[in-house]
Amino acid sequence: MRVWYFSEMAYHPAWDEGLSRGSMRVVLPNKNFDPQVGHGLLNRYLDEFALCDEVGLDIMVNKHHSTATCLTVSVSMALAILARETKRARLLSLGTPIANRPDPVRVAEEMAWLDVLSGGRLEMGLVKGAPYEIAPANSNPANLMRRYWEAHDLILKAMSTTDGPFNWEGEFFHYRNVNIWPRPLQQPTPPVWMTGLSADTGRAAAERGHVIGTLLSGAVAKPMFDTYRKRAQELGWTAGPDRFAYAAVVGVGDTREEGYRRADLAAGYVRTAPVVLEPFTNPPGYNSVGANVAMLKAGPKRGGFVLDRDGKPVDHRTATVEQFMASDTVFAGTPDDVFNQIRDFNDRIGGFGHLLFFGQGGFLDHNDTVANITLFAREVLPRLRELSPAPARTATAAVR
Amino acid sequence: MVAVAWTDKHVDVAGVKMHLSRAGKGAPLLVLHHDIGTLERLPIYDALAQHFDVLVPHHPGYGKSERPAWLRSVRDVAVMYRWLLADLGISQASLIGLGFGGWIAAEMASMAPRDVERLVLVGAMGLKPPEGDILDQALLSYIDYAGAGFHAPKAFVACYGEEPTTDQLEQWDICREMSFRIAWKPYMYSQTLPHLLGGVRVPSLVVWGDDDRVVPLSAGHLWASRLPDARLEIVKACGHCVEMEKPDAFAALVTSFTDGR
Repeated sequence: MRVWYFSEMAYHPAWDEGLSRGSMRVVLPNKNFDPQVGHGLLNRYLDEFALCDEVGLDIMVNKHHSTATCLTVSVSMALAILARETKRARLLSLGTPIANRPDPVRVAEEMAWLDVLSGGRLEMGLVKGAPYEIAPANSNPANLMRRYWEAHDLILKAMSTTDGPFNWEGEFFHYRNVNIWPRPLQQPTPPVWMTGLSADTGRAAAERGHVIGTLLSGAVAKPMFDTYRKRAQELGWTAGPDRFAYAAVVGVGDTREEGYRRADLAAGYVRTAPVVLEPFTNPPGYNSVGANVAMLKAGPKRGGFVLDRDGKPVDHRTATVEQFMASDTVFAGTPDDVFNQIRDFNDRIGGFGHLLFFGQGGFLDHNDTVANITLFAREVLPRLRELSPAPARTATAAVR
Repeated sequence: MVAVAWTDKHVDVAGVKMHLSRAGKGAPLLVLHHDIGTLERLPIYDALAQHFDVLVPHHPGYGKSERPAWLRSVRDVAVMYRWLLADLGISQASLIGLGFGGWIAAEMASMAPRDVERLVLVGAMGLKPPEGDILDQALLSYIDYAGAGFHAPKAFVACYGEEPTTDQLEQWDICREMSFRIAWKPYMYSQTLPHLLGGVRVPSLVVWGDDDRVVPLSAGHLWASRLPDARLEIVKACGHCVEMEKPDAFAALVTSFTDGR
C-alpha cells in the first residue's frame, strides 16, 4: 500500500464565521481572510508537505475555490513548488476539475510540464469536482459529464500524441494545431486517477483502467470498488488493489488519547467541508430529475456527507471521533490501533492500494501535524507497505 | 365568456416532437411561455381565445416537448418557432412573450420584421437590465423561484396549489436544466439582441409588474426605448407573471393594443 499525505490547506480562522452563516463556501466574503495570516499558513502547509518527502510518504494535492476550507486554488501551482522541494515522493494531483476548466489543452500542458519538472513523479487526477465548484467556475452544470469526458479524451490525446499537431472539433472544445510542449516524461501519459461516489463512476473508471478514489465512507467505497472489479473481470482483466484509493482522516499518537486528540482536530475538515448553502449543493443537471425531486420533497439535506457501515447518514457536524471511526471516516489511536483499523478496513472492502492520508485539518497545529506525519511514517507506513506490496509502478497508462 | 375548446397535438419541427395547444378563432396569436414552463390551461389563455386563434406551444425541451440535445441558444428556439408557423401556414402572427418567452419573441421579431403582426413582451428576459440583475434561479429552490414570479403569495397558490405536485416539481426541474443548457452564460440575456431590435417594424407593447422580482423594471424601460414603436405599461400590485397574477388586466391591455387603441 502507498500512502499519500494531504491537507486542504484550510483557512480555519474563518470557520466560526462560516459555520454561523451556514456556508463555508461561495458566499462567505473574503474579508474574513487575513492575507498576513494566510501568508504564514500557506508557507507552513507547504513545509508540512515537503516533510513527507523526507519521511517516505507520497504527496497528494487537491483544490477548491471560494472557500475557507481550502486555500489551494491550483494543483499545478502547489505541485510546481513541491516538485522542486521534494526528490522522491510521487506527486498526486487529485485533481483538476476538467469540466469546469475552459481550456483542457492548457491542463495537458501544465500536467506535462509538472511531469517533466519532477522527473516523472506526477500522477494525474481528472475529476468531476464537487457541485459547489460550479458557481465559482460559472461553468454550465447541464452538460457537465459530457463535457468532462470530452475534456478527458482531449487531455489524454494531447499528452500522448507525438506526431502532431492535430485538430480537435468536438461538441464543447475546438482547437486547431494541438501540439503541446513539453510532452510528459511518463509515456504515453502519467497514471490517470478519477474520483467519485457512485458505482457508475467505478464502472467508467474500470473501462479505462484508471485508478479510482473515494473518501470518508466505507459504505460508499465498497459498492464502487466492487463494481470496478466486476467490470474489469467482464473486460478480461483483474483489478488489483493498486486501482483503488481511499481517503480518511488519520490521527496517530504515542498514546491512544493523543491519537484521538489529533484525529479529532484533523476531523475539523469533515465537520466544515460540507457546510454550504443548499442551492450550491445541487446545480441543475448535476443530479437526475428523480433524485432532485426526492431531495426537494425530503426538505433540506441532512448529513449525507458521511455514511455509516449500514449506509445511514452520520451527522458530520457533530460526530465524535468514535462515531467517525465507526463509519471508516477516521483511523485513530496508537500506531498499532491505526494499523489494525486500516488492515480491517482493507479486508472489509476487498483491498485497496492507496491510502489518502488526511493528516492535517484546520486546527491541528504545526507541531502536532509534524508529529502525526513522522510517527505515521515511522511506525505505520512500513507495516502498510507489507500489507499490500506497492507495485513497481503505481498505475499503468490509460487504456484507450 | 364562451366556453373554449382546446385541441392538443404534436408537431415535428427540426426533428423534435413539439407539443401544441390551440383554441379560438381570429387572427393568429402565438403565446410563448416562461422559463418555468406553463400550466396546461390558464384563464388568460381562455380569455385570449375569445378574440384570437391562440397557439400555446411548449418550448423544445420544456413541458411535453422533446429535448433536443443539440439546442444551444435561445435564437435556435426562435428559428424553430418560425419553422412551426410556416408549417402551420401562418404567414403573420402576433406574439406574446412571457418572461423568458419574451426573449424568444423578440428574437423572432428581430429576424423577420415583417412577419410579426403585433409584439407583446411581459417582463421579458433577453436584455441585460441597466440596473439590477435577472434573478438567478441557480440560487433558489425551484419552488421558491416559481413563487418569486408573484407579488401576492395567494396568487401563486391559486395557480399551483398549496403543495405543488410531484409532476410539477419534475417539470420545473426539467425546465430549469433546459434553460441552463441554452441561457447559462451570460445568464438569461443576449449581448447582440439590443443592437438588432431597431429593425423591428411593428408596434410593441411592453408590460411589467410593478413588483417584478425576476426581471428588474429597468429592463422594461430599456425594451421600450430600443424597440422603435413601443409603449410600456406597468401593472400595479403585480409580480413577474402578469398573465397569471392579473389575467383580466392583462387581457384588456392585449385586446386594446391589438385593436389599435
